[in-house]
Amino acid sequence: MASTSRGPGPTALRRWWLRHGLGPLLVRWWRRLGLRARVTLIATLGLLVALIVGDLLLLNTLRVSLTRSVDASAKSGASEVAALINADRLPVPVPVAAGITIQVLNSAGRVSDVSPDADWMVPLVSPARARALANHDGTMLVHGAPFDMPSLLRVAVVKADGGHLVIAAVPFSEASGSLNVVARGLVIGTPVLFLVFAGAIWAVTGLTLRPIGALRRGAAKVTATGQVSDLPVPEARDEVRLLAVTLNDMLSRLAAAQQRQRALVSDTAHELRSPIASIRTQLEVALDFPAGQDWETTARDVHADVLRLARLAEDLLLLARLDEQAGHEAPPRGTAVDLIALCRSAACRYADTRVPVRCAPAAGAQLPGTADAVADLPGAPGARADVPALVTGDWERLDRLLVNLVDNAVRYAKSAVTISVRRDGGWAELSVTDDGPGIAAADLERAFDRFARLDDARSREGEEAGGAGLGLAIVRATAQACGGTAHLEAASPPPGLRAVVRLPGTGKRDREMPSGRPGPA
Amino acid sequence: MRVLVVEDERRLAAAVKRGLEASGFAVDLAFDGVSGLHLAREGGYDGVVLDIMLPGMSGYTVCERLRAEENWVPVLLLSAKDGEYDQADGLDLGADDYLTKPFSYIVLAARLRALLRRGAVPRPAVLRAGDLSLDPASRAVRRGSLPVELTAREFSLLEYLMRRCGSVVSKAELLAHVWDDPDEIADLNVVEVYVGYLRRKIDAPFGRKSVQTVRGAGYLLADDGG
Repeated sequence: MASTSRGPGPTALRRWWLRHGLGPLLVRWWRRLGLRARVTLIATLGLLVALIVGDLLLLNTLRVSLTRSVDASAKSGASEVAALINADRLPVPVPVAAGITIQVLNSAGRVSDVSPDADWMVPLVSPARARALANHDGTMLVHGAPFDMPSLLRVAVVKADGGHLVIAAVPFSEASGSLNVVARGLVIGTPVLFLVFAGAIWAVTGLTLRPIGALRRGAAKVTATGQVSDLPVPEARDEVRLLAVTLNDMLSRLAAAQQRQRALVSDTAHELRSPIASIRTQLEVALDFPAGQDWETTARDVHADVLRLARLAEDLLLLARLDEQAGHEAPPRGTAVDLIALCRSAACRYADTRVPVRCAPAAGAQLPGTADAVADLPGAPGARADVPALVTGDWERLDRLLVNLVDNAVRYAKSAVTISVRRDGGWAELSVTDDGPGIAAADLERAFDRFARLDDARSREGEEAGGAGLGLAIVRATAQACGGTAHLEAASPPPGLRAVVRLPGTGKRDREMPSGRPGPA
Repeated sequence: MRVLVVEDERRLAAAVKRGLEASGFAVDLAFDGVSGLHLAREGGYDGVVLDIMLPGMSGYTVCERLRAEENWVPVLLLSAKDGEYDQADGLDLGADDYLTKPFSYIVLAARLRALLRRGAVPRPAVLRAGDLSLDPASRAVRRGSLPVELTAREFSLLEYLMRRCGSVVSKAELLAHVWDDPDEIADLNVVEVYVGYLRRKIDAPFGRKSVQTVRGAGYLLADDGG
């Protein structure tokens, strides 16, 4: 109970302090102080404490060492006289070195001999005290004023033969005088030193914080002008430099993103305007010159343009959704989709294209017209034809991914397009290979850019024309939304192009679970 | 009037062709830059409607090549790009007009008629007299390959003289066309002073005499650059 009853005491006091009085004012004042003022304040307070402690230590050490030397001279004076007594050769008055006063007490405690300036009557210390001091080999401080002597005396007592005690006194005033001089020096010097150091700290913190000020001005300029320019990087290799470098890195990446965004908007506008221009002109001309107008052809042409526009809008919307999904970093959603079944169903739809579309996985062998397909499941030895390659995703979107790849491949293939699925550890790898001209190694990555146009010679001929250049962008965005990757590579054997999409298998996550964890097998 | 339309959107090209033909033009079509350039060179057209984003060769390049060959056929650029610089670049490369898609077919036909009225007179984007060249777009003046620094007034003076290359231009005419406030300048000698500055920059360092004084008449810029 005691502890509980005592507990609230300080808390209540603290609460009162926080609620009333200077407490909140001080707290608020401290919080509002600038970094420079705070650092300077903390450092100077620390410095002040250190200086004072140092001063006290210095004074104490000095005093102790001075006392010791005075004590030593008193003891040696007393010992010399004791030696004379022991030899029974003590002259009167007792001979002493300058500055030492000697009294010799006989066994009765009376003063028997003295040095020339000493008192005959009253011993400097009482006989009992003197004996105690002699026994401990100690010294003590005595006020000399009552004995008509200089103010402070250090007194030592030494025993001699015949119960004699030799009292030796040495004035301490000299030592205390030098102590005073030092103390006075410290009292004047310490505040001066303190002020000099405080000023230095203020200046140094100012210098240290200057690059931050420069950073702030740079950032303010970026905000005010909207022009992304580099923030000033300080020369010192310190944390502020790291901050500046990191911020510059961020700014340049933001600028690049902004640039990309602008280019994207401009490209989008361009791609939307082209079909609209086509539709508008066709309709205007048809309306203005109805004579000999073949409305059916016009309707078909306009319809083709509308389809193109619709597809573009769909693609843009899909990409926007995928982008939004990518921004959330959510785990891939959807159901388990069998890539082999997906490929089979897609291949069926390409039955009457210019070039045959073959399905290479073992499962594809059952498809009509694909009897020469290669079994291509090296990652799963002993895998049977009906073993599915499961990935987590949305059937519609994965189908769209595959269709985009196959559309591209069919457009450029010379004689055949091959779709294959294989398992590679926890991954399912979907690839679409054509034997067309392929694309330059330098452009393999650029092909995934939105509105990418690699082929200048490609013209929008007829209905099998290339899209707006969003197909591969959608492929990559879809693959990434499923936690996978997409890339292009040269087909082997050349010529040709192989598009590879790697998706994490549905089984993968189960297999990667910690083995010690209990769970359904 | 025979017009060439270079446009890779075939349906759009066909509609434009039909419309222009109905307005009385004779129209030929090209679907890519290379064949467009070839036809424009050989076909003797009175005007060219040129898309910018073309397969094979961009409309900019086609226009630039035509002008480089001193083919002054009026060119109307057609593009879905509406950026300020897209338009400025096209016009500075020697095109005569620019229309952004989607466009009104009526405006296209009207602009084409206006272009054809002007005809195929030489109107280079970069003015030349011998080895002296002046680009009004980049405001660059060169003598051979060496750049010449001119002040704004000197530049305007040279530009006017070069546009009237080979014919005499009076001081009063120069004052009226080059100075902002010709009425407030009483002394025609100011023209003389500036012509002096100009000679010191484009003629004296090269030992040439391109700006000649025609006594009692005015000045003349030699066709051959002096």
